[in-house]
Amino acid sequence: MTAGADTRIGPYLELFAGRGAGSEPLGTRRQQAIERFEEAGFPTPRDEEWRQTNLGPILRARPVPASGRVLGEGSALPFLYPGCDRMVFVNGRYAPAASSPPQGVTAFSLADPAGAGSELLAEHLGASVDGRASCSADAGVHPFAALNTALFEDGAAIGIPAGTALERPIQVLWLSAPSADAAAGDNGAPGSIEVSFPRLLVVAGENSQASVIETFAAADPAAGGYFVCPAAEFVCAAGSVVRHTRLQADAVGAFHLGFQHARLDRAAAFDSSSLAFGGALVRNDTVALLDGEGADCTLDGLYVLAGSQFTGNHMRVEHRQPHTTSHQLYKGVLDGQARSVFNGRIYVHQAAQKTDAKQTNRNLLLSKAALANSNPQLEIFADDVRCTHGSTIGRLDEDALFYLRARGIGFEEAHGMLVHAFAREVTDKATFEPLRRDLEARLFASLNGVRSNGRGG
Amino acid sequence: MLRVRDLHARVEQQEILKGVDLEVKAGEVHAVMGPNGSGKSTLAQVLAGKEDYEVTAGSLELEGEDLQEMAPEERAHAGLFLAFQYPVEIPGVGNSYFLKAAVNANRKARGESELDAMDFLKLLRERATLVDVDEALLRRPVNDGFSGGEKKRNEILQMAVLEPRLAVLDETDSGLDIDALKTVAAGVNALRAENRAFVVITHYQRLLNYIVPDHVHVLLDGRIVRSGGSELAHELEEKGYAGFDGARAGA
Repeated sequence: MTAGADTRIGPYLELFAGRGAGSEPLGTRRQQAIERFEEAGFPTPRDEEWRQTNLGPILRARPVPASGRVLGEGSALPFLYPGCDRMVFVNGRYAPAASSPPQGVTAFSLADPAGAGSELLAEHLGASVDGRASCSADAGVHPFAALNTALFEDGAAIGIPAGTALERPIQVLWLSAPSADAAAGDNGAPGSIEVSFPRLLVVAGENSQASVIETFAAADPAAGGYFVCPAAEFVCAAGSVVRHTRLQADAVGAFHLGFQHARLDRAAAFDSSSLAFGGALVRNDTVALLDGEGADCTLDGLYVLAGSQFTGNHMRVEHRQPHTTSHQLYKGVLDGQARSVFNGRIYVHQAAQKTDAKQTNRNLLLSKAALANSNPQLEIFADDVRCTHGSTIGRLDEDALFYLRARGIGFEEAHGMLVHAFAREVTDKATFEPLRRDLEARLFASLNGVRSNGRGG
Repeated sequence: MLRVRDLHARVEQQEILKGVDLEVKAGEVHAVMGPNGSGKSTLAQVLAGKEDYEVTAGSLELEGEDLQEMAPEERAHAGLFLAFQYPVEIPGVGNSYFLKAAVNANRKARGESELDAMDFLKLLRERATLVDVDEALLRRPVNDGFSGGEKKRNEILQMAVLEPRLAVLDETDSGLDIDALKTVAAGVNALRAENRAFVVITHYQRLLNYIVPDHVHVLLDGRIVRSGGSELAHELEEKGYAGFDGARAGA
């Protein structure tokens, strides 16, 4: 396996060679990133954070850049919410015709040469992977974040000026539309996959407020054979309040390895919800650095999986300053032979006295063959802190099911009610009404899928 | 209305009911009394169709229909209602949402049109008043964080809304203080009707001061050892169940 490492990264190095590092200020960072990636290589089962993720299906396929397709404006419509400003990307590239960027803030496409001189980029882009704002040393470089930094074609940069409170959410839609001839073939048979590297940078100035909704979706829900490898960076200045929703509704055959990184300054609040419904092989790696006194971070998530879907959520929250708080609530519903991993790491530095951290991961298994892994890890180096974690993996409450049925509610409906009741603790947190309704609809659609697939396993 | 014949049932290989006979006619209230472990709750659960219990012999009929052939929800559609001894907490499911789903599932199964939100709310308010349930309970998740008394009242409210033909009350009095007991009993009495029957399962005679039964049955070790009128409950109160061992021995 060790000898194979070179051949596995080769095709990605070729992608980089094909496009080059490009112009400054990003050229140097891209070059550094590809070197870091080359040095680290793809993770192996020996890497603790990747032990339970089988990257085989991705690494066996030959990556080709996603085609720069221009789609009709209508193809994005089903995924867009009313009442939002929006930036739409197709296969990782900006689609200006479908977009209406917010006014009064900085918002541009990373491929737009006009943005190249922007202070936002110079100061913040790539800080999460080049050591300027990375995790503690033991975490190392995130291979796919490095890969994204080296290879992203385009993306969104959003800067909210100090003191500005945006009333409308900003929706960033990442639409994948693989060309018809790209297909990974049956379950890992060597073929090609179209790969895109969406990149998002959000910089919230002091005392600003904004809500950003990221939507990952496929123009054709039945599409397979694509690989989306996004990276998002959030910089939350003192006193800022940033809400973030990450809806992952990729095609069921898609691969998705995402990285998101938030840095919070004094009294900043970052509240991020991750809702995962799609994809065959999905990772969502989140790093939150609580870098200022009183910073407050909320990370919620829901994954609803069936068939042979795999989703891993890997969290790392670092409390670096006193009086910082973090709350995590991740819930999973698994049917069929679906598998999930929750790796939640809370790291409390010595300086971070009075830290208040809570982490909860609850999993509901609907079939005998479904499997959920839950690994909470607390590393605490301060002595005056409150840290709790809880993790459960269970089945539907048979007594509750009987209770509902004894009142005349049929099995299917009772089953759906209980699963919905379990999941809504997360979906109910969406305060933006169109988003909440969409999440409800997706949840019900997934549950219907679960039901029509039959129960038990 | 209800006809139970020589009912034998077991759970995990242990026989609990060893030949129960019970016949309940429309308009009647029957009390089934017995000590812990006599099989009272098993009888209730078997009637409602809990899958953990296996009927090994005998028959169960509601209005001439074989209950054993019916899923729990079908039994409800046929007019059976069980007030649970331990109502289940269901966080995340709103109480009134649940009740509306239940009412409409029953209506649909009976070929009636479903109630819309307005009509349902009207029904719910009316019945909540009838059985003296605070409307605040309706806005909370089903039984979630309810006190013991609130849970039992919620059972009675569900019964009032669902209008069953046969209601089985499984130790609805247990854990209630005297005021709650009176409220629950008043709710039951308000629902007594010529075409409706009740089976009140209880350990103690106290509830029967407020819900006066037409018939009392003593259940001991999986069998009904004596049946009589409401005076039998008072006899039990005086003598205790020990006095009935002889009756069983002689039976």
